[in-house]
Amino acid sequence: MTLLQGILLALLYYLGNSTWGLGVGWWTLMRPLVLGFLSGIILGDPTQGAIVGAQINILYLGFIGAGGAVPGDIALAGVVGTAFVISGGVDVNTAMSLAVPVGLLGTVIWVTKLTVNIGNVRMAEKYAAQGDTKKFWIADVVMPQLFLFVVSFIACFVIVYYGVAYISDVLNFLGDNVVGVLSTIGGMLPAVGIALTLKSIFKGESIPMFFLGFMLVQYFHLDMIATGFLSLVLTIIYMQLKNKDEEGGLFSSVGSDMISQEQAAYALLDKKTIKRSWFRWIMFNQANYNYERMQGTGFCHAMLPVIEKLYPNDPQKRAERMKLHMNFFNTEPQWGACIIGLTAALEEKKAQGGEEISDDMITSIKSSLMGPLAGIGDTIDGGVITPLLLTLFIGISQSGNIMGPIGYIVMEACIMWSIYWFSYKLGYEKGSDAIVTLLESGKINKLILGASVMGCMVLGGLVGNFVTLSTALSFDVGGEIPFILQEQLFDVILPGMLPLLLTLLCYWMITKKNISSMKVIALIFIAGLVGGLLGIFA
Amino acid sequence: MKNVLITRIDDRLIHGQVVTAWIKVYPINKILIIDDELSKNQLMLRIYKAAAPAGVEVILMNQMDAAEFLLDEPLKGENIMVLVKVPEVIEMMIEKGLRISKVILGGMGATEKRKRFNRNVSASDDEVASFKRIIEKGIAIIYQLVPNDREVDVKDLL
Repeated sequence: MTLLQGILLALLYYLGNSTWGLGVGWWTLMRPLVLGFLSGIILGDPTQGAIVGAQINILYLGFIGAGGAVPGDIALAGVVGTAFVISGGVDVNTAMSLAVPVGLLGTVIWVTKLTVNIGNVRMAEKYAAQGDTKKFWIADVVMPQLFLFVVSFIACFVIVYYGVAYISDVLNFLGDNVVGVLSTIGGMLPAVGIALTLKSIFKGESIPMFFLGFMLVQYFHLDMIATGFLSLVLTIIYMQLKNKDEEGGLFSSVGSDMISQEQAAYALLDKKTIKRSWFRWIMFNQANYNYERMQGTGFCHAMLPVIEKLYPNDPQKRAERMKLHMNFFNTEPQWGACIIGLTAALEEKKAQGGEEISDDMITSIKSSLMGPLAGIGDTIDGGVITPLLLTLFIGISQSGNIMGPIGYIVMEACIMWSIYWFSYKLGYEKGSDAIVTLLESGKINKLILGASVMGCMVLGGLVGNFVTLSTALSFDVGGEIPFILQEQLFDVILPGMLPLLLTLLCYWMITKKNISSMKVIALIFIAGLVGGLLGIFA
Repeated sequence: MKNVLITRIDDRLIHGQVVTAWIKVYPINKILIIDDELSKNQLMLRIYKAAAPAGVEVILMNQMDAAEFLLDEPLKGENIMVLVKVPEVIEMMIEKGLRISKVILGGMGATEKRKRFNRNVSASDDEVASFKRIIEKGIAIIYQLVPNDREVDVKDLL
């Protein structure tokens, strides 16, 4: 690896975690599927990068990070894992095993960031006290991003530039046996990622679909594209049979008669201001994510265009409004965007002389909606839509097709931008009753059900394609030829029997036995080590 | 007494960690939110009901009603998660006779009266005193965002 490549990879890793992803960085630039491909471009082999990224991403399919609780640094795992393969000459499954401890190491950066960023809240408070809407971004964006850049750049550069140089020596030193075991473990690990994703969707009517997807791949050798389309059609048929009398899109239940009392849309504010507020929200909602206020300064940042417009010549009033909107705030940025829109409407109404809108009322609306919307948003975006899209496009990437990562970026980004925009507009134009009506309408549950059904099916296909485990056991049964368990039993009945059982075992441990995913991963390392060295696993 | 599986302090009440993590791991089918202020607000009940996944019932009660409800006979198959915003409510429930061995501490947002306590938990002096009194009764308070996280004993943070 050249020095330049090391620098570019470290920059890429920062970008993956930064606030510069136009509101969808968390969903695209941070995912190993995407980072693997981009690292591949830097290292001169985008096809191989897409393959490695796809494999590593399976472990983090159901990555949610609700309320700042992250299970691992998936961006670091993606960049470093890809570098190990392309520049370090490590095989894909072994890189998968190595990516796990790297991802864990990366969580240190996350915790440090959320702690250090508290300092920027103090700085933001200073600007808020002066009603200074122009300099606020220094506290909310420049300072936290500078810090994140330095820390993540150094960490990633050291690991890829120096780590890759030595990784092959280290593996050579350890010998073929150990490398073989690491590779076996790497083949087993996707089972954990799939099981974690199933945790949200594997229930009731979706369960048979999982097995259907698995069998389509095993018996009919369908690739993931075919499995994806077939599951889409089947899901549509299923949903049609289930609710014949339902019509209309997700947001259509909210008619114009639903406008709430706090609605004041476009009286003092114009469309340009609303768009600016929206854009700042999607860009910077987590730019200064920290343990004290979480998205508090990000919320204030998004309100600045509104405050500037309403109080252009009144720094004192601006200071008062800024201070109010720096409160603790945390929600799922896409679905929670309606809260920013609603707050903009409340501010507008208040500036019009709406006596009944007190600061307490604004705060209580904000803080009571942020939790429920985070619950719904995390479930839909992180729990269903993203794993579903990832699964489909990981399948496409497996064969080295770079349309996998590219298609994923385009579709995922468009979906997330749409949710951001419709949610914000709903909050601003229609108000709180409309938000609640949408939540109650049952359409969200249908969306979740539909995506769960389809998700289960493609996940079943993923087990067949990505989890690898076979046994080397054979028994002497008296004849000339020993009974070879894998060839003569599993391969005859169901070739992917062991991967399927392994996935279901992981699912059982995680959901029924309440064993943490880290412990399940540790158990897989132990099982792979013992089974590999004793020759039970091939 | 009702069958309470989890008792959690978290001022965002029902949100991502609860919906995507806790109720996936524990067989919760009823969420009881205890809050005097919210219990008067029908709109909030609608919001929380909508936020809970299908199959999980949400009830919102003030402290008096909640204490009565919790001490009532358990129903077969009823697994409850209790959510409150502040430790004082838990203390009140314990005084009324609720027997629990563990309280999970999720998040408490920063306000003017509160100082930073641990990571995403801020607490006022009164609230810290309440933590202490609960622990003195032999009940463990565990800081844990999601079931996957390591358990941190609040006793060690005081």
